[in-house]
Amino acid sequence: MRQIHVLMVLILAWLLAPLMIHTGGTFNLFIFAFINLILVLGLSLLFGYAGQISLGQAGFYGIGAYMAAIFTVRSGLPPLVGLVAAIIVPAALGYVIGRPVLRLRGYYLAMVTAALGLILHTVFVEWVDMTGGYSGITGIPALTIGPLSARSPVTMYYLSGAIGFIVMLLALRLVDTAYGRAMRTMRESEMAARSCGIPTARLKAEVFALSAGLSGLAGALYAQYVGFVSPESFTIDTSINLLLALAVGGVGSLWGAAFGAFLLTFMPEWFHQLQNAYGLVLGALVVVMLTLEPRGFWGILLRLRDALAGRRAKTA
Amino acid sequence: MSSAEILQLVITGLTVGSIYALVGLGFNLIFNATDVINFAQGEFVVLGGILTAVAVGTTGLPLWLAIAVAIALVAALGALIDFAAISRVRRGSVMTLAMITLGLAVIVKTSLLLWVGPDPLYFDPFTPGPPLRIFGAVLQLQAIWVIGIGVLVMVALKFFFSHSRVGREMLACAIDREAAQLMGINVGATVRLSFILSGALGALAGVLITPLTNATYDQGFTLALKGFAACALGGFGRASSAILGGFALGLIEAASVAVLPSGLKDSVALSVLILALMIRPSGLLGGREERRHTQAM
Amino acid sequence: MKIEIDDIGVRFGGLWANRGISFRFEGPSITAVIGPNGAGKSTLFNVMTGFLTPTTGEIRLRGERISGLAPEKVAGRRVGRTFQIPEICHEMSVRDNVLVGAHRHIGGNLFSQVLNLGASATAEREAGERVDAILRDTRLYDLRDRPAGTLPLGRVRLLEIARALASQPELLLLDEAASGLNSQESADLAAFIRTLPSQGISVLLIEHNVGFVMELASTIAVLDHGQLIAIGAPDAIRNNEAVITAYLGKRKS
Repeated sequence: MRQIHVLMVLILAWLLAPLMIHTGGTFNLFIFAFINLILVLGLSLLFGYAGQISLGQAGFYGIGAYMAAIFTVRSGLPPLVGLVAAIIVPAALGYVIGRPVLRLRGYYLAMVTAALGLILHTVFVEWVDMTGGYSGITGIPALTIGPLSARSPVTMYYLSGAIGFIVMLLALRLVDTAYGRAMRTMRESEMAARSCGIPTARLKAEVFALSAGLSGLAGALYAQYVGFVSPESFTIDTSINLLLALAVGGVGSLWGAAFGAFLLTFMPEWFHQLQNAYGLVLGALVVVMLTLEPRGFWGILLRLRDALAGRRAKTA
Repeated sequence: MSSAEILQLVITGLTVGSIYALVGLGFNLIFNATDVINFAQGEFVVLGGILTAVAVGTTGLPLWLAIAVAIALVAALGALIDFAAISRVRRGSVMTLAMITLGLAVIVKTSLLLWVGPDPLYFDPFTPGPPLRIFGAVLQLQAIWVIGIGVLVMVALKFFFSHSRVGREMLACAIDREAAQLMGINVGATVRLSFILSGALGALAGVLITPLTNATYDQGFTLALKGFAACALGGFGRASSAILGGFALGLIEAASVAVLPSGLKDSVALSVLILALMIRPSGLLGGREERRHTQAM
Repeated sequence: MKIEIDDIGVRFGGLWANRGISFRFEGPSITAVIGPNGAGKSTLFNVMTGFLTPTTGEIRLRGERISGLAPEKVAGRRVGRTFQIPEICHEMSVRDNVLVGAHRHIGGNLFSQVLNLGASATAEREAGERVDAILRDTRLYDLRDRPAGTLPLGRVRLLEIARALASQPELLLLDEAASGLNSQESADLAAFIRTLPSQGISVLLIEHNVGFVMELASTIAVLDHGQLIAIGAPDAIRNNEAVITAYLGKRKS
């Protein structure tokens, strides 16, 4: 219940923040932060809660973006159709791929998902007729409702923020349901889950599809806001950065995921003098953080909380 | 296809296959000692090539010295990784360690980009001279070095594991770490050594191949995946299988270039990886999966 | 509830872990499978619960074959089990761990549960009430909000049993449930197990601690080297030559 209060405060801050933001650049950052939030939350549910690692999320992210682009630019359909396709196509693909692939565990799964992500990237580059190759697809029509357009920073700030908060709320709710408990048990012991009647093969594929769908949603938002898509936004580095961001924030926690997503977005900005060097910072952060506290920033918060509770117990 | 083309294909396949085998061996060494997959393995290879190129290009060191220095530096990096990170993680799982290596891979890659930029680096082949012509196929002199030294190293490793005390201790750790510890084997030192050897092997691979393919800062992860594919084809935990897997992968990749557009070359190797693991998760030749606690049956 | 184990054989490479094992029992009752280490008891359990497919033979529950089915399907036939090395979710609370056992009664899918629609909400609440009752019976109720990983082994074994009970099984398979318990904990556990048949639950125990089952089981099957060497009431087993030899080795005459 505490979590709901924190969320409400954050939502309030989000609603009011534009009063204080004056530069388009800051809106930009927040929009990408919300897009990253959706991506990392998807990965968190998949890895942190269901125990299935994926180094290929950028592939689904890209499919979502390209779906949003292709369905509108190539087929002339309204942007909403592109948005729906951006969620459903990756999700369906995720389920179909997930059934066989998720029989693998640990490293095998990490490598196979990385390979899948790389193959998808090659598809984005090589299938020129469909994707425009290296140049990508430009001129994506923005979703508009009346005077509001998805291309406008303020509108997109509220749209992506709203979707981001909704995803967060739904994810928080999910982990507390029977479905969430099944996921979490499956992560620690697939045998225990199966002995309770949980169909783990199907469950893994479903969560994989869910995270793929969320990645696709993020891709659609990206395509809508930026207006064009090209393969260089959906590389193995993207996938690796998402996983590392999750690791730093805290793998086993949705709040950790959120923190990681915002860190991932704002760090290049804070270090923009260093340009490409922010990769160094992220890498160093991962190494240092995981060596000291495998549960990431969330783990550090938990340690603080336990320390404070311990102190309070002593004085009580 | 003419026999000359087939021979050419085989030569190319064995050459890159030698590299994949060396990367796979590096994976195996660390995996056997720690149950961790070292995601930075590919970076070792890239570092080997780039460090040598820089040493030759800017400091004018003779090639053999530059190579020795590069390999030594990367081996030292391996030791540092174990000292600073891997050996210090007490409460982590194997996945945590793997993610640390992933973070390290990002550090190395970004550092290389900042240091030498995005352009490929190069240095001269070990022996100058025109390529040989054998039955209509072209055999670069460097390719002979790659395959030759690669095979030599693999044989030496085999010997090391079966006949030297240190090597046998490493094998013991691979089979059962607790038992090895109880028998007085210093597991910590073994892990450290496996990282050092892994670094050296990776750097050697990079040094061998750079005169043929150039070294670029971002080749690491794809190389790592291919080395992993070599292990997957052959079976984790068994050095000889990684070697066979590496050469097989190289040949498959070379064959695919004859039939498919070159942009799909990497995807072929990756598809092989996926298929190999789908068909037989413990490796097509049978291997050892990561240690997990299993129910006593 | 009737269980038939019919000529079960399990072969790993050149080794038969189970061979020609046949027996049957009916419930509600308490039956035990004992035997020295390596006798093949856990193998038999794994065959019964779908974690292993037998090389030969069949296992039938209420006349229907359950051997060769996936574990989750076996669970659907009202068979619950615990594990020799406990498999719990350390970071979830005790109560949540037990609720997982009730999973197949809650039903619904991802969407209906997240949105707390009608049937899911009711099912969740009913499962919760049942779980609370089980927690009280196993005396875990006061610990229900603690992370399961903080419990001592004796409680963890009870937790696994509670989880299995939450699925409302007709047959409960306990794998070395008394292993690692002190004498008080063992006695408490035995007392609890004794109450189960009156609730319609048959219990099949694997134990290598013979004393634990002697007072508890009405029928004891003895395995040695993968084969069934004796089956009968505790007294008969106690004095059985083959059993004594299996445990203590051949007597020097």
